[in-house]
Amino acid sequence: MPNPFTLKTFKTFVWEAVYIIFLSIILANYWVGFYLGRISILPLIVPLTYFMASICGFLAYLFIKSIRRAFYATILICVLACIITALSLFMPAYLGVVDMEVSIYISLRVAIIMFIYVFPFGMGGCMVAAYLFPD
Amino acid sequence: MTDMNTEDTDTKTNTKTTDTIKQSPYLSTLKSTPPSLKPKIILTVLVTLLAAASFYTLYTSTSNYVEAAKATHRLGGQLTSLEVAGESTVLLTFHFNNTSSLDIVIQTIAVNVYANGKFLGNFDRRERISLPPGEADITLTAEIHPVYMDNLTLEQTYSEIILWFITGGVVVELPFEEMTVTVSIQEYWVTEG
Repeated sequence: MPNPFTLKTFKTFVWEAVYIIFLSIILANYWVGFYLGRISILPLIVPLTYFMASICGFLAYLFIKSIRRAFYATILICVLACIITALSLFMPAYLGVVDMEVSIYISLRVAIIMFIYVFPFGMGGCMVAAYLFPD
Repeated sequence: MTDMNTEDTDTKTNTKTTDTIKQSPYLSTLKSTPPSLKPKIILTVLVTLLAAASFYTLYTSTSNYVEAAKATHRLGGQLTSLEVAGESTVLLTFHFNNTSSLDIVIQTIAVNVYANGKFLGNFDRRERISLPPGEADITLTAEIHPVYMDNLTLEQTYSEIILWFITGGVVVELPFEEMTVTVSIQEYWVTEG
């Protein structure tokens, strides 16, 4: 069994972690744009918002090249993207502009609804990539 | 003969190309990279570029959202003055404070006015009023309709004080593709009868 605490595995771990964080930022960006509508500078392409999770899952598998680890990575991407989206929508309350309780409720609701959508799409993208490009 | 010459030329060119690759440090580094890492590097570069663009968009969108929230939630609309001018005219002055960095526009102010609970009419000012960052006072002239004048006259005659209740809203246009938000107003004022 390979030693998990070598410099090489640590480097790979950091590289994958950064890659996953980047993918979750990409995914969160589209969903923040989707919820903010005209306030966002992102051109609103609704189908792309849904498919972005699939694209992220696809890219996660292509990078990790292991179906088991890509599965967990996709879950992590979805969760991180939901957290980033919720934090982004919570920002006015954090800065004291709007009511805290209402904002917490809205942010949590958005995060949960978003996860319900992005999780199956992300998994779908991951599985399609695994089918097209097996280990 | 000609074919052989051509082959010679090709070989020379190939040798030159190989030399050029060997001289370039970046290409030699990429060449020495294990084949399993090349797709990872390409994917990382692609995702990094997309993430950088996404981060910029995310930051700008969130900033816009915060500014829009400031422009609508802290706008105010407090009644700072209520003046009965003449028999049937009431001047209502509202104070607005645009704490955001956005140049917003007030499209409409529409309110219902009550005196001691008696309805005096619905009044509006449908005029585009620019509201840059800062404070501004806007006056709404309420010309009471003769149908409701009796309500006011009775209260002015028989009541020592008149409790005015003003309820309505302001339609605010934000600089995001002419997006509009309605901010509600509910104010009280007391005058002598």
